[in-house]
Amino acid sequence: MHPYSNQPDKNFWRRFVSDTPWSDLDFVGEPKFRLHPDDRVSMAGSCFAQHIARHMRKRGLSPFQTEQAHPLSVEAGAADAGYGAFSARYGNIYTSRQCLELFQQATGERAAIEDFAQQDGRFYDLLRPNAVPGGFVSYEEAQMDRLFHLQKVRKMFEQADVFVYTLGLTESWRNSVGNYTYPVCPGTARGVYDPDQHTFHNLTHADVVADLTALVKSAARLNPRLKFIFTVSPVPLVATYTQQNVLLASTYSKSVLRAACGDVAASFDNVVYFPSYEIISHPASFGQYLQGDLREVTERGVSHVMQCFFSTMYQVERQPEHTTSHVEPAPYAGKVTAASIESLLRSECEEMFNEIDRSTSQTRHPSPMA
Amino acid sequence: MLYVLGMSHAISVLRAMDTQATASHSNYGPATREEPGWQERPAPPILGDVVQGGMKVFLLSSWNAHIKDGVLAATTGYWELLDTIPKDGEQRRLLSFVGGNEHSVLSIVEHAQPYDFYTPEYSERPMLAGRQPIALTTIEKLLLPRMNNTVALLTAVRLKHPDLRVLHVMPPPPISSEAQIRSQPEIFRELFDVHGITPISVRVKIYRVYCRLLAQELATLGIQCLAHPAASTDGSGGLRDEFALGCTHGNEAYGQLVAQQLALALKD
Repeated sequence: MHPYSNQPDKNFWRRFVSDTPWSDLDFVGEPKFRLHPDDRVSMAGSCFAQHIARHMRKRGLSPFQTEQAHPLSVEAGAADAGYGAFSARYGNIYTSRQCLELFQQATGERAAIEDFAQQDGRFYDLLRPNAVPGGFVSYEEAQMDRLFHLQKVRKMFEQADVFVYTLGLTESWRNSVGNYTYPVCPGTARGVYDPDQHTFHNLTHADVVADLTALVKSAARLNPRLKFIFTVSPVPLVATYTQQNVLLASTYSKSVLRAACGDVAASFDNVVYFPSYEIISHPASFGQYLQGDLREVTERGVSHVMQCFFSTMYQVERQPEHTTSHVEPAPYAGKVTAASIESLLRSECEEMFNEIDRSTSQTRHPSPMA
Repeated sequence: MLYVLGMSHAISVLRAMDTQATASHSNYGPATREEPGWQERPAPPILGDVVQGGMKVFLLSSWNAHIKDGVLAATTGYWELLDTIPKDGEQRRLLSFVGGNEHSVLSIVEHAQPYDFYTPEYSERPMLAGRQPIALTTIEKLLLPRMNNTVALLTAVRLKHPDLRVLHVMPPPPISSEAQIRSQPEIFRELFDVHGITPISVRVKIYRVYCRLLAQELATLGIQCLAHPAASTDGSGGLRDEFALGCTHGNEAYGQLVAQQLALALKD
């Protein structure tokens, strides 16, 4: 007898992984808690996180949304972007630091950050440049919308039963004067890059653990029943600003995020780690869910992650192995309206703005590997 | 001859101008439809000698008319009424009071999801905290189709009478005081009880956007607009209590101010 003698099959690679079809692996097992269909499920994170709300709706579940387009805007057919993908209109939140700072603004732990870039007669919120792509007609409107947004974020944390957060990046851009974090480097999506105040910071494992721990503890004071599901986006970086190449930088980033999530989940009873990252990116998946660029995840891969998520977290019956009939049709198949195309385009990662247009001779933002 | 074509907002002005005070809510409405044709009135003294030959007034609560896909549609009766205006002659003028409550329809009852918006026309007042900001373009998109009837009616006038001088009188601003509105809630009583009244700053903004959009539309028809009298409003831009009637109209005192404006405007 030795400590491994009585361990279950799942603890042994050969018995758990080697001879099991990837789609049949029980990635989560018995989670610390399960969700009820009536639970208020809020969500945030990187572009990969946008799939959760979409797949909840496909299953007849309602994502918890505290900030929605105004009915008059809907009636007017006004293209108010940025609603529906997440619980509030914050757009992609790639880093733990940005998420924590958003929580702190919403709860009054720090003042609302007002960093609006004026371009082409419009004002753009640099903390959510693509959630509100059309910007605002005035500085005042931008201010008021940000305050309204923060009220809704607070409401989300106050009333949600669970917060699903998909971490995407460790590389971040900070405003060194105001001491806050941007979703993307100013100058890429909106604004103008200013090296005197826009500084690069690559979060460490300790940073991410500290951010997530602070978030969990602070949120507990606001809403003691709130539970957390942390996941890591399997989508690699578009570009890196470190001295590493983008593949090594991605490995660093995802490793830090994965390890930090594991540590925080081990520290709190109300925190679960969900393995989106492993399902898509583990070498044992043979890269079967990667698109041709070896970065983007196919809809089949997304469906696998979501199937695991809902079957384990909601305790619903596991469906048969994925077949073609279960795969959401590609957006170009069949009739596709202009609106649906636009909607799909909107879900594109903001991080894509980091990609340099090589056809231009000048860049206004720091170039990777510069 | 001064032709007056209008709906409810004409009444207070006509009562202020007409010494016999025959225009009233009691004789305006469906009863008029049964006797189509202009009601002849003497020239109002307040307008001095700018109006010769008296007035011809036609009031009706509504006319069905609209413009869809560039095609104007109006009732036969309306076209026939316009045909009774001479094609030429000295000092033919038409005062329009058609429409005017389109902004109130959108704004007077508090929305279940309170909103506010920024517009340069009201930049002196801050947006209200806690209300959902919506885009100015949303308000414009909601107002434009609601103005379709007014624009259609006046487009018909212009089609029939390309040379006629037409002056459109803007409706009064929204009433500033909620107490005044609640004192005469008209058909809105239940809605006010359930939802409340939209703050005056929001209502004034919508009114100003409405006036701008309508003036722009009518300018393309060569129709001038007469703005509300500045003296009728308070610091919020809303209508003072002493000029209010019901919850959306101006009273005879308001009509007096408009009539004074008309006396100047018609001299030009």
